[in-house]
Amino acid sequence: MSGDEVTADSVSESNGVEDPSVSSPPPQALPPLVAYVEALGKYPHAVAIIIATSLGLNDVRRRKNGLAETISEALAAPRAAERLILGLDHSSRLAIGIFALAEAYEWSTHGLFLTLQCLDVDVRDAIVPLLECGLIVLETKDEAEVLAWNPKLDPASWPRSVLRLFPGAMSSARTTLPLSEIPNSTDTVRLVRESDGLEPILRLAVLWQRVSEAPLRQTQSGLLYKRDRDRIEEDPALVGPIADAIEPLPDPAAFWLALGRSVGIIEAETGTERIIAAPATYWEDNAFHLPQMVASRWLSLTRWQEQGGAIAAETVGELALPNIRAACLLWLAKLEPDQWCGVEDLAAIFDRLAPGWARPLLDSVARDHLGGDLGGLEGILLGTGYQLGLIRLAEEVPSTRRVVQLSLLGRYVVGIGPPPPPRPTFDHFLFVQPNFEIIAYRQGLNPRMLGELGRFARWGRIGAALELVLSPASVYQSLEGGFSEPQLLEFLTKHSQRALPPGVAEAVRTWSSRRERVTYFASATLVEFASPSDLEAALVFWPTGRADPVRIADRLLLVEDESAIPFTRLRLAGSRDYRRAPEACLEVEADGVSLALDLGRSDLLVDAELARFADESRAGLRSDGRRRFVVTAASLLRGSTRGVSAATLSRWFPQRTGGPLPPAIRLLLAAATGTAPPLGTSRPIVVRTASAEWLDGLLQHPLTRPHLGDRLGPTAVIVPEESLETLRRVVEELGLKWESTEGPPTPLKRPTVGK
Amino acid sequence: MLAEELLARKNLSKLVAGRLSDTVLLVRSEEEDALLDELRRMGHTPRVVR
Repeated sequence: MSGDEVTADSVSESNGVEDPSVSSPPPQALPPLVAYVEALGKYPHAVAIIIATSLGLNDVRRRKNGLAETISEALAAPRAAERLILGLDHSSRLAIGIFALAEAYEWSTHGLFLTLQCLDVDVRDAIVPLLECGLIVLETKDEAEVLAWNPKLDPASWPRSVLRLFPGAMSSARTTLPLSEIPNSTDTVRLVRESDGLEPILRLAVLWQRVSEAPLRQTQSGLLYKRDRDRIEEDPALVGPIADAIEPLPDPAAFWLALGRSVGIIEAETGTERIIAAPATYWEDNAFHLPQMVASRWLSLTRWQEQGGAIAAETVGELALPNIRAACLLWLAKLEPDQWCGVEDLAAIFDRLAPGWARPLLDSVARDHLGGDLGGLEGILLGTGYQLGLIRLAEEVPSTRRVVQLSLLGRYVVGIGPPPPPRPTFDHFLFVQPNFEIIAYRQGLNPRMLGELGRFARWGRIGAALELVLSPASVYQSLEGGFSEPQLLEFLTKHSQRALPPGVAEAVRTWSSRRERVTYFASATLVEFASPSDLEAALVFWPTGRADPVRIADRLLLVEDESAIPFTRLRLAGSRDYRRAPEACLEVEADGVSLALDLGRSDLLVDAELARFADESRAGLRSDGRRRFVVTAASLLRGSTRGVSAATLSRWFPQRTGGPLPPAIRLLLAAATGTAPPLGTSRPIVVRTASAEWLDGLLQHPLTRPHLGDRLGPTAVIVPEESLETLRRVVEELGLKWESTEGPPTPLKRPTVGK
Repeated sequence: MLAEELLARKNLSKLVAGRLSDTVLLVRSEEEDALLDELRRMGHTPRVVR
């Protein structure tokens, strides 16, 4: 079955620890054909030769590589898969038809065995021919098991394996019904009940809207963050009780999430760990087929079941109950439209054909379940099957037993009936109230209208009637999704039972107009002209019929669609992609505060960047034609009021000049912020020696070194004033001569060497 | 007027790479999410053209 389900998983946002009560994420799904070829490629050579030979590829015996691709290409030939399927016996056609029924490209091996057993089909007779002609391939977690492949088909020897359908066979496979008969009743029935089938569409519409508002975040392993999981689980519009329910749906949040992901109404965002809503056009494209899509994908949900909801499949094993769904539909498809079948009768069939079918896990011991379990079956038929609009329920007369049959939608999904007629609708199903609340009656709705409603109004309570609210945020969301203000007002006006309250229409117009105040162009082309007159001249021959260019300055045009620019009539002097990192186009001059702009490498941004904290020099261009900018204390002060900090400049200078922030500007910044320590002044006493060698000696000798300060040069050193007398005495004791220059303070002249 | 209002907002002015005219501000594409979030926090409903 499909692996692209959203799990019911959650992870603590604070510590990333998985919640053990929920299941783990789905593996990353490969495209069906890639997965098929990859699985086939793992087959032993001898087995691949058997398949190739059965397809008439007799010249491949000596080939070592590429057999999987060759087999795949042979199956993809026009009508090849169709001819193979027509040549299969009933049991194999029934098996491959299950893939088509669920629109699934893979199915758990154990699961398919259980489904086939419940349909009174010999598993070996059904599967072996399909494996031998390559229409399905076996994929196990352990390659050694594939190497030991043999057609005996002992399920116990292939734990957790899957069977993959050749994707090209999907369109050729047809639903095939079991040969045996099903107990049926044509007796009088009463209290016939059939759901309107809107419940899953409604809940998916709520899910789509909530995820549109804020995407769901997942960890790298695919678990939902706890906050997002809680947001979904506690949303009454999503998990509130179902008005027309016979059997409850356990863990509804997990069910709608899994179903939503399966039908593609929410999807993983490429390159991120988020789940996002499909584009609003999803509703226009898929609304008509959505009930059938939901039904098919329900058949292939493996991590959620009608008893217990979502469970951690990877930790406990594969669920058994999901594999009963297809068997239920195929048995009920044996009934004529006026025939009914008791729920207990269906359970008895399963008890006879597959004792232990109601076990919780496929590989669990079935002893405790040999007597059958009506709970799971009722969950399938009267829970999900009923809510999805596939099953019709009645009470048999006079026995009062509950009997079921397929609805028109159910017969269509199984492929034994025509598409059901569209739901009868009436135009005026809305009450729009002055307080912006909307009440919608389900009787007037269809999936497309549900999608449209959810695009501009926020879902509230879901019951026999539906509550929605109009708000600035919901209207903004709809405008962003491409639903315009006139469309919105037309929808409300057309479907309201009364005239639209004037306050509501006015508010919608006001909220819509606010959106026009700020426009964000995610990508645009800026055309800079040499002069304003050039720009005017270009506008004369600018092509009409497309989005007009926006004049944003006397020399600049903003163009939404680059292909609309008449390049053939313009001379292109240079171009720059502003998504790329800024280029170093400034040279810091020797004074550290003057910056020279290289026009050949500059861009439009650099002017604006410089204007924040520097002034263009009034001295004009440099001799090489470069414009000059000067950083001053005043310009930095201006910058600080515009958010230009020392940190900002420390990042900006390497990008734009290729070097660090110059010390001169650091000095100005420190002065501006008052963080610079005060500068000190003093008159140092300097000792000069005749040569560097003598000063080296003074600095090294243990008697003189403690009385000397910083060395100023090869022959000069500072003497702290308080050490002067001591140094003089020590020098003289060492036999060196000491001379002082005249005048206060008394600087010391070079010592001379004595005897 | 509106541009001045936006630039006066410290969190938003940080995201603005330059002002090309009275009504056009330039931002880098990597700042898109932060910019739109900040605009919405300010109560604006920016029209996003992709």
